[in-house]
This record gives sequence, C-alpha cells and structure tokens, in this order.
Amino acid sequence: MLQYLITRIGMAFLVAVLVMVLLALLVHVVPGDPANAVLGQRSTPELVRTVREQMGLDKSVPVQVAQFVGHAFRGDLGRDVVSNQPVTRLIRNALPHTVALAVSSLALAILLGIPLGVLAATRPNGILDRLTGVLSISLITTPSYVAGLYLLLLFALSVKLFPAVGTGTFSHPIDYLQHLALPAVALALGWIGYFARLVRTSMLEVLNANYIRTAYAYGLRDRVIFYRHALRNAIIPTVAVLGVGLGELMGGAVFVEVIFSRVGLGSLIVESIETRNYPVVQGCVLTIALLFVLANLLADLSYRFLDPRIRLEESAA
Amino acid sequence: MAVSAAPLSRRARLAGRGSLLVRVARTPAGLFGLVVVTGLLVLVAFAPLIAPYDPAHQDIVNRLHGPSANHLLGTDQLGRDLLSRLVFGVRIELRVAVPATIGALALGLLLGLAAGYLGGRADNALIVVMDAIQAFPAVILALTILALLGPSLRNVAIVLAVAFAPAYARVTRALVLAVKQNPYIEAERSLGASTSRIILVHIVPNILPPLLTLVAMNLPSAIGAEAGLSFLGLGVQPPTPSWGVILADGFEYVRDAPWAVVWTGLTLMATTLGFTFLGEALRDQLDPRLAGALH
Amino acid sequence: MNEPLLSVEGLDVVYRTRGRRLPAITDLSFDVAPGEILGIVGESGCGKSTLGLALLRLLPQNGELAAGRLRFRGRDIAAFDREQLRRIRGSGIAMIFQDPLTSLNPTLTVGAQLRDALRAHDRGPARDRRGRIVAMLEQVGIPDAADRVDRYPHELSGGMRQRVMIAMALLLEPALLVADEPTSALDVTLQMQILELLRVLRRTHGTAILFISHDLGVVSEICDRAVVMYAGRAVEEGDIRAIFKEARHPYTQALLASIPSWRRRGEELGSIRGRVPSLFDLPPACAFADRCPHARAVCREQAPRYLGPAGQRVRCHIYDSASGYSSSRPSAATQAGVR
Repeated sequence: MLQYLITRIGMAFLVAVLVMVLLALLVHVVPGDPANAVLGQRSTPELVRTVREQMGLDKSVPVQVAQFVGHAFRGDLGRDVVSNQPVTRLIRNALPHTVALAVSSLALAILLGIPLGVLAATRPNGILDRLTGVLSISLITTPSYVAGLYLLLLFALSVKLFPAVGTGTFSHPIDYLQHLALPAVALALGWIGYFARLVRTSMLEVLNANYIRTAYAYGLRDRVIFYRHALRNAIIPTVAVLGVGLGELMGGAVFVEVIFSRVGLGSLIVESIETRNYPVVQGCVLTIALLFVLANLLADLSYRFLDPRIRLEESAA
Repeated sequence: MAVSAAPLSRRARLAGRGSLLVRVARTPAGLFGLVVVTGLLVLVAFAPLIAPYDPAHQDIVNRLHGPSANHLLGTDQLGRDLLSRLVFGVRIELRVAVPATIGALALGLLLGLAAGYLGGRADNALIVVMDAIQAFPAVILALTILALLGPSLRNVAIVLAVAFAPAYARVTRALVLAVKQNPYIEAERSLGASTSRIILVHIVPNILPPLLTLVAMNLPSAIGAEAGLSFLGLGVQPPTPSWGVILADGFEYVRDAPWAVVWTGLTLMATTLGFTFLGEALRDQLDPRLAGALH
Repeated sequence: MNEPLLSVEGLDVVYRTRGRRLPAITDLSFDVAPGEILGIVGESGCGKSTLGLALLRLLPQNGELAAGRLRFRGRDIAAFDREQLRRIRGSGIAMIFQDPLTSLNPTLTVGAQLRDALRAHDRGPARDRRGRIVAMLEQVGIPDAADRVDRYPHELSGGMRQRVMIAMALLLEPALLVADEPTSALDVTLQMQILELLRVLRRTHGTAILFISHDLGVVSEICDRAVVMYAGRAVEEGDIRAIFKEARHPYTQALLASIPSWRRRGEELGSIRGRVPSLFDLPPACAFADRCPHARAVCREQAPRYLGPAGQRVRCHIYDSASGYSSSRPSAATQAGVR
C-alpha cells in the first residue's frame, strides 16, 4: 500500500507538471502573435512590447515553458495586467469560496443522491424506482446554469428565502451559509441524479451476490442488509467516480458564481477574460487543474482504502 | 473480393433500418426524443415561416412585456419577440453543435485510428496527450482557449470540437483494438491489402455504429456547452439569437421580467432531454444488434 | 412420538424463465428425524440445490414454491410470513453454502458478520458476543481464533472460510443444518476434516443435517439415510447401507457403478449413456426411461409411482406390482446398459 501511495503521488506530480507545460504552450498553439492574442483589442505597440517582455516571448519556447514552470513552483504566477497585483494574491482571495462551494455541493450530492439510489434499488422497477430514474436523467441533462437561474428565480427573487447576490464572509457563518445555499444546490442537482443512478446500478449488482443471500439466510433485517452489508460494497465504484465529479463541478461552478455574483475562481476567470487579463486567467486555470489532479488522487486513494481486499494486499494469508 | 465482411455488415444494417425508428418510437422515452428532435428539425427548416416576427425586429415601446396575444412568450429588453428569437435560435445552436460534434468525431476518429491501428509509440503518445487534455474540466479548457482566440460562433465550435475529441479518440481506439483482433483483418493483410484500404473498408464501417450513438449523446452536451459559453459572453455574440445570448439578456433583467430566463431554460431542458432520450433509445436498439451485424 | 423434525410433502418448485415454467422440483417428499443426517444425492441440475434454497425461501426472484408443505417442528414454514421466516432463518434452520468465498461479505470482518447474525436474533447480552464468537471459532477448529475473528474473508484460506460458515451456522444452535455441497470446493484432506467436524457436532449438539451433494463417496461417509434425485424428482430413498449394497432404482445402480473403486481397479470407468434431459423438455412418464437399461413400453406411457414402506420408497415400475411392467414388452431402444 505504501509503495502504491508513493508511486501514485509521483504520477500525480508528473501530471501537474505536464499541466503547467501545456498551459505555457497554449499561448503558442493559438494562431497569430501570442502577445496580440493576450491583448486583443487593447494592443498598442508599447503594450505589445511590455507583454512580450513580461511573458518572456523574446526567448525560445522551451525556455519560456521552463520559466513558467519554475515560477509556478515558487508560487509566482505573474502579475495582474490591470492592477499589477500578484496573481497569487487574487487567487488566494478567491479560492476558499470556490472550494466551499464545491465541497458543499459534493456533500449535498452525497447526502441526497446515495440514499435515493439505495431506495430505488430496494424495489427495482417499482414506482419509486421509475420516478427516480426519470428524475435522475432530468437532473443529469439539465445544465448547471439553467438550474442556477431557476433556483435564483424561485427562491431568491419570487419567494425571498435566500439572498440573490453576494458571498458573505467566513466571520459570519450563518450569513455565509445563506449565501451558499442556492449556489450549492444548483451545482449539486446534476450530481444527485448521477449518484442516484450509479448507486442504484451498483446496489442491484451487489444485491445479487451470494453474500447477500447469506445475510438473508441468517435472518438479518432488511435495513441492516441494505445499509450495512450491501452499501459498503456498492459505494466503492461510486467513490472511484468522485474525482472526475469534482472536475466537472468546477466547470459548473463558473456559471453558478456568475449567476449568484459570488466571489470565486470562476467569477475571476470570466472577469479576467473580459478584461483580457491573461496572467490571471492562466493562474486560475492552473489552480483549478491542480485541484482536479489532487481530487483524482484523493478519490483513487480512498477507493483503494475502502476496499479491504486491496488495502490488505500485502498481508493476505 | 467477396470474402470481405464489410458489405455484409452494411447490408445487415440497411435491412434493419426501416424498422429501427419504429422500434425506437415504441418506448416512451424514445418517442419523446423523436418528437423533440423532429420538432427541432422542423424549426430549423421552417423558422421564417413559424416565427411570428423577425428576431431582430425591435419594438422598444413594448419591451420586457410578459406573454400576451401579440407576443406568445413575451418580449426582451429591446422589444424583440422571445418566441421568434428562440425559434431562430435553434439554427444557431445547431450551427455550433453539429460542426463541433462532427469535428470532435473526425478528430477523435483520426487520432483513435492512428493510435489503435499503429500501436506502439504513437499509441502511448496519444494516451498521454488525451489524458493531459482531459485533466482540464471541459468548460475551463474552453474558456482558456476562447480567452486567446476571442469569442465568436466559429471559435466556440472549434473549442468544443477540441474539448470533446479525446472522448471519441478513446472509444475509437478501444474499438479499433477489438476489431483488429478479428482474423479476417489478418487475412486481408496477407492478401496484400494496403493499410488505408483495410482501415477504410473494413475497420471504419464496423466501428461507426457505436460512435454514432456517442454522437447522439454528445450533441446535447455541445448545445448545453455552447449556450453556457454564450451566456458568459464568451461565445456567440449578441445580437445573434443563440439561446445562451437570450439567457444572458434575460438574466440582466431577471428581476423585472423573468420570461426570457423561464422560456429559454425550458427550451434548453427539453432539447437536451430529448436528444439524450433519443440517444439512449438508439443505443439500446443498435447495441444488441451489433452482435449480429458484425460478422 | 418420533415426530419428524422436518417433513417435506409434495413439494413443487418452479422457475419462470423465458416465458416458460421450468419444473425444478416435482412432488418431492421426505422426512428428517431429529439428529439424523440425511443425504440428498444427484447430478447437477437434479434440483438438490434448489431444495436447499426453497426450504429457507431463498429462491431467486423467478423461483416459486408452487405447491407442497414444509413442516418444521410441526408448523408449515411454506406458509410463514416475512417476519416468521426471518426468525427461523439461522436459528431454526441454518444453511451452509457451497462457495465460502463468495458467501462471505468481503468488506466486513468475519467477527462482524458473525456478530450480525447474533444480533439479528437478539441472542444474549452484547458484551458476551465476542467471547461466544471466539469460542465457536475455536470449536470448529480455527487456530488463533482471537486474532482471526478480526480478519476479512479473503485473508483466510478456503478451509478456514468453510469453517467460518459452519461456525456461523452453529452459533444460533439450529435444530437443522442444511449443508449444500459443503466439501466440494475443498481438497480431500480438508474434506475429511470438515466431515469429522460435522459428525462431532451432531454428537454434541444433536443437530440434524440435510447433506446435499453430488459426491456419493462423501455421502456414504457421513449420512445415515439418503434420498436420490433425478430431474427434479426423488427416485429412491433408504438407509445408506441399503442403498449402497442393494440399490433398487436403475439410476441409483448406474450412479453407484460409475464410482471409481479400488476394488474394481483396472476396469473401464462406468458411465450412464445418454444425457440428463433438459427440464424444459422432460420425457413423458418416467424421466429416466431413455437412459434406462430396463425400460419397457409402460415406462414411456405411465409415470411411475413413489411407493414402498416409510423411508424406503422407490419410483420405478419394476417394483410396482400394479404397473403392468411385467407384462409390458421390452422397449426397442433398450441396449446393453451399464456394467
């Protein structure tokens, strides 16, 4: 297990580096002069010269990439074109709120989606199961911005249950949670549908296993069989998916932050694209990609930890 | 020449095609999907006849009105008829989603064929590149590239094609690897058939059906992604009536006139749901039959 | 007096598959006395595993107890509701399954699974449970029980897993143990150990055992009596020694003749010609007629009756004086049969 841990962390590290390299190269993949691409409408000969110098475009491509990666490792992601603040400071301000959003959405999705899936599996093809199926697909195919907009309309504007705008601060937790509620639900909906479907399929497979038959043969109660004996096994493939889930959640977070005017990486990216503040865009995307790599790593490790057969590989009798 | 299996599989597919749609229509989900997709195609073809107004026609006096006899769905902030804009929007959506999906298919097919058929280093290189691209959430990747290319309809299509291509490449590669095992491929090769002939005549026809179901499932994602990007202002630009643009306009005035948001949201949901159901129904019909069509 | 512990009367079990009804068990009747070890013998597909599952109503979704009575301690468990059934499972009748690896939950320790069984039947105060479990594991011959109790199934060897299953079965002190091929997945040495364990347990706890197996050798080692099944029906029953010395039904005789034997070494292995008929497509009348060296015309026209003194019945026209077998002509298809 320890051996695997080391290997896996090493691999994640390599992917992280590759991501940085790709980002650095991106500017060159696009047709035309990179400096112009970055500046867009704003480009004047002086600005072009400044940007070229800042981005090191006068040096060869491999050197540029190496410089970018090197700087990134030291925590230097360049400076904001507009206000000249270090990009890392902007990200540090925005990141916690995006993480709060992502984590609470995932938590909601797990708390609601998994029991829904288990319930659907208890009476396959029953009314609840079919309803859950239709609901799941509807939730999965609805884009997060549509969900966000409807939630905004229904619960913040028509019936003023929740605030429509803003993030709040961590020092006022209740207020913060109120601002977090609708955005988190909007993001979570798609995932509730996905988890419900996944858990249902997993559970039905597990319920056919011989060891569940044994549990019935010894008179265990239904609830014990479903939630203790079956779910433990069914949850394993679900965890494997969580890493990918977090990545897509980040994508949806961009929309939700814009719709609810929340502070976060998503809003930051959109704002920066509009003001052609490329270093900020690059920094945010790098942060998100690294978070994604981290999430995948954690999901992979948890999955291996949860399954005793894999966890105890070395000590098998 | 008559030995090759390709004509057989094509014939087998053609034989079943007439009844395929009928069989899909028999399931409630499939029927819903067919109705929605057919409806959308009708709107694409006959938009000028169906839409009551020119989507660009402004009537400032009647701006931000709710549904009425004159404007069934209401008007937007410039007095344009929402229904007409939504109807013409179908064309815009498809004008982005279809090329994006076909582009992703073509790109993925090419790369996947190369990786699967050639194997070795080409294969390894491809996997690494695809993994790296998929390390970015699709929306984020799209945003980054759009930041550099600048927002426009054409660029959104390009960006989406690149974002979706890895999925096609992986599926193609897996299918090619499976088909490559078939003894008749080896037989053709020993008869002296050239690589391109083998690929074009034998491999591609056999891997197309599952790829086509992937296309059916991918189209709604492309529509959703385009609408999202345009909603953020990074895709199609106003006044072109992409659903995302209509949504963005509606969002600005959502407190006073929520109609744009409500109707556009419903349209998007119905469209994505319809395509998804149709895609799933098609897959259910095609997949078990694949076993028979492939020799 | 001498009330049988289990009395199966006229049991019919049917599987619904591909739109048709498959008669897995037809008209099965037998008794199990308290403390008796009864063998259920037959080839794969004869219905013996189905019997085990049917007793505890563990049949899959498409299986159905179509007819018959299952009297356990005088009460018909075929008519029990869910809660009554739940209470009897494990504590009145306990089952040991064929494959101990897939029959134990891979994500729970052995101790946790045993504890859940105890908890389901509210046996004893919670703090005593671990002690009882460890004691039982020791009793079934698992070394280092106090350590093994916290291990996962895949950490134990095949023999130990089977012992764990037996421990679970005995934990609740059932009156009847249903053992479905308990030794088939094990090597010969382990087989002997498990059989010895079962014998000891019958001695010390007085547990009756329904021993289901295709292996006649094993059955002869441990069973007091046996019922031979073919194509879902009982064809013969009797004292184990009687069956082995003087089998009456032609199928039983053929089975016995096909056991490799030290005494007959050097001879060609016996086999029964033909194949077990598909349950979808049973021959009318006697199911064994097509393969039977003694078949006559009546065997294809009339279903043979299950007749004889209690506990010694046989389903064959040869022994039924009223069947017209003696006056019936030999079937044209009869050939030189089994040696």
